[in-house]
Amino acid sequence: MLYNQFKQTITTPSMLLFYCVTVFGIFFVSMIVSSLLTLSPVFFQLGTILEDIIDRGMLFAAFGLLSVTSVVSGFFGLGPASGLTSIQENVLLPAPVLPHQVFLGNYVRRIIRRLVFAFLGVLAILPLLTEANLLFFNAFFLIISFIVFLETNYFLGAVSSYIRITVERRTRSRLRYFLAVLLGMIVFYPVFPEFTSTFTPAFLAPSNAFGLVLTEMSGVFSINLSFMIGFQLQFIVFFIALLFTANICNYDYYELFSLVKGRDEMEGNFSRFARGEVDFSNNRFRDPMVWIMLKDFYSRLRSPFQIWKYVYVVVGTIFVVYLNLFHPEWFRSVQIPPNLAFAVVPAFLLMLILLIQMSSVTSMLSFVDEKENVYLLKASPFRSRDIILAKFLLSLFEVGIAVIPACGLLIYILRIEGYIALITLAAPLTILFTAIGIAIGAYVPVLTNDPRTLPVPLAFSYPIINLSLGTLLLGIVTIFAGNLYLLLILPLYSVGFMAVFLGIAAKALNSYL
Amino acid sequence: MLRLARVLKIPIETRAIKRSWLIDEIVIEFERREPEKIPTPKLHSPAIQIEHLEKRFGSKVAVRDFELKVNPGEIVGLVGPNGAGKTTTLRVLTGIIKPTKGTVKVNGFDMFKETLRAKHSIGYIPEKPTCYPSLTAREYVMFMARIYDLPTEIALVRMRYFVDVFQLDEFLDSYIGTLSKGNLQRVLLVGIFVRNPPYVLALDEPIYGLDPRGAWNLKALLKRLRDEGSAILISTHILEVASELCNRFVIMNEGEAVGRGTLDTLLSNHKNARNLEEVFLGLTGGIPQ
Repeated sequence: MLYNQFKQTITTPSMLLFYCVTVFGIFFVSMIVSSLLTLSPVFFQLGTILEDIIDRGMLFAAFGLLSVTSVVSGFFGLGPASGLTSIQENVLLPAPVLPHQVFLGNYVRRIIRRLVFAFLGVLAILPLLTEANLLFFNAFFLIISFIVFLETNYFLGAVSSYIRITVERRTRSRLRYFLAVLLGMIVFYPVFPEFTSTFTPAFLAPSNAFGLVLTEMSGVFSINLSFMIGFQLQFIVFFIALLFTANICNYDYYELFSLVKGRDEMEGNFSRFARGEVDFSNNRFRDPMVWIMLKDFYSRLRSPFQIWKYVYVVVGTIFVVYLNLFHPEWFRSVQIPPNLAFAVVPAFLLMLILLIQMSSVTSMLSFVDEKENVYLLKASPFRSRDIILAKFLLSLFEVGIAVIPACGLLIYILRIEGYIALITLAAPLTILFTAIGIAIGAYVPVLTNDPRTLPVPLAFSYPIINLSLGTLLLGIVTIFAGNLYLLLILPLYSVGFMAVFLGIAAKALNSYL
Repeated sequence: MLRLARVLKIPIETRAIKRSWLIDEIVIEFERREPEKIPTPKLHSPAIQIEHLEKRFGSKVAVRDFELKVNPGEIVGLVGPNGAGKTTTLRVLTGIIKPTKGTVKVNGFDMFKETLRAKHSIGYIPEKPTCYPSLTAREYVMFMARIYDLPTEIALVRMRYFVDVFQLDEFLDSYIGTLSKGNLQRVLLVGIFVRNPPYVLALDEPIYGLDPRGAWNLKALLKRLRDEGSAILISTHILEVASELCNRFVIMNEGEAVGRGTLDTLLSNHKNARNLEEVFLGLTGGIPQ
């Protein structure tokens, strides 16, 4: 299947185009970033700064917390059932195939995909690595080590899920949830400095083994061991955890998958609560565009997964307002050492782009969220541009409100001079990224006849196009800084590209499969 | 044809001949192998046996104290309104989900104790046909043959036969993701028929998406398979299809069997009803005025 997907990708021009945009886009962005920033002194000083700011125990504790998160979320999660799909439910689950065979088949496919993406990723950021004097193989090695760490955490989560299922077969008492805390504590225990300051068997713990690879490879907090020891320990534990997880896969996971799938299809209690008494059919608007927006807005508000975006906006905004007004002791802004002051403004701008990029993912999903209804929308008596504009305006609103807490946090954390001028760049970036998201999302039904699944090249090309055009925008701002023409160029740039991408979206809408 | 010749190890110099001669060569090779052929197995009677089935989802009871037997040489129609519990019953029958109570046996094997043997015996077509979009139709059929331990040469012959029955020839090398619903349904059907007969089949709306010719072919095939000793359970809303195909009916409503028997039995039990549709409506909420 992987081979077929590869074959399909290289024989489908649009897919190939999106992959090329992704890989060369990252390459281009890393070239620009590496020419703007001098990274090697930053990297060389980073070790010293890290050793000054935190201690070895804290670093290991941070990785340990990742494992704890996996165990606790795994306890409440689906475990190996999360890898099952509706297709497998219909084809493989009724077939004479054992659950561990299904799991291993899925897993091998997943790991091959990850390794390929890791390789492409490292290849694409090669200019950055070269500029920072980081060796290609070291970087690749570290990424592999990180993937092995994350995968082992996934298995820990699977074991945790198995424990919950086993316990739930015996008792439904609410006390069973304390098990999640207990499991978290067991995973966190080997992280204590007593076990990590010298080489002990505690390095078998996945987080410690990864910490060992990182510290010994970078020389930061090194205890003068070969990083290969950590790497070997990681692999031993990884294979034990993989085989153990395969061993615990049983038919209960089929049941779990079916239950959760059924729950997705049914209306949950939360959505009933979110719906309240509002009935949006009672409004005076007659414009179809407004109706599409209202439909999308209320659909999202009533979806248990989507409403959290709005909850995040409200809670996040209150939180950043509090931070900026009261500067609490327990959460101080970052104190930049004078020798790194030159990197603060580019760092601020890059973080701004990344935060807006993350907040704008909603816009890319506005067509995917329609699922099969996208064809219904297309078949409705609306003009394509009305549909696109409705999707754009609502997404702009959603992205706009999601950007507010992110920007507030950035201003608080990196309190730099002239931040008010810099933060205004959030507006053109938000407009631009939202329009790009709409265009990419509109292409989903063009590339696939399963409009509920976002194809990988589309998902990957979105941040890359954003980063490329965002970086270009910053370049223009840098070139025309202090020039009044900037007041003309900036709106022209963002509105011009917005129009181009919305036009592309309308074109996509007119060429559905 | 050439692939089949290669699988059968027909010498390469013999393959470079006219198609009709190659067919003869293949037939000769099959006849030569005929003595090795294992006799066609017979199904256990009853081939499908569901006893006291109960399935709960939390506090909701989807199926309650349900009983069903399907014998070899029989097509049983499972009919009922939406949400009656038909699909849940089929999902328990095929081992996708476990029953809360009760037992399910397929070809004499308990689905939850001798799972692999039971699953080996049953073929399932889901209500909403889905399949791996990145496989070609040919790859999918061979994949199914491999899962069910079928020798490649047998799989190739069967695939060719059923591809002709369902007129799939031109789509055999197409990716499944590019097929229409009807053609996808045909591919799934070829996938279940590629195995060794007699079959135990659980078909959820098998006519779904098929054009009249495809539907006619499928109905004719199911009748032939029944006559050859297969046991078939069909869940459907289309009562015309049910009355045309099925020997017996089980009518479900709100998770329970509210009527069962042959069409004649059902009609004699419901004097006011003139056909299956009226029996169905009478048992599931009354005939609308």
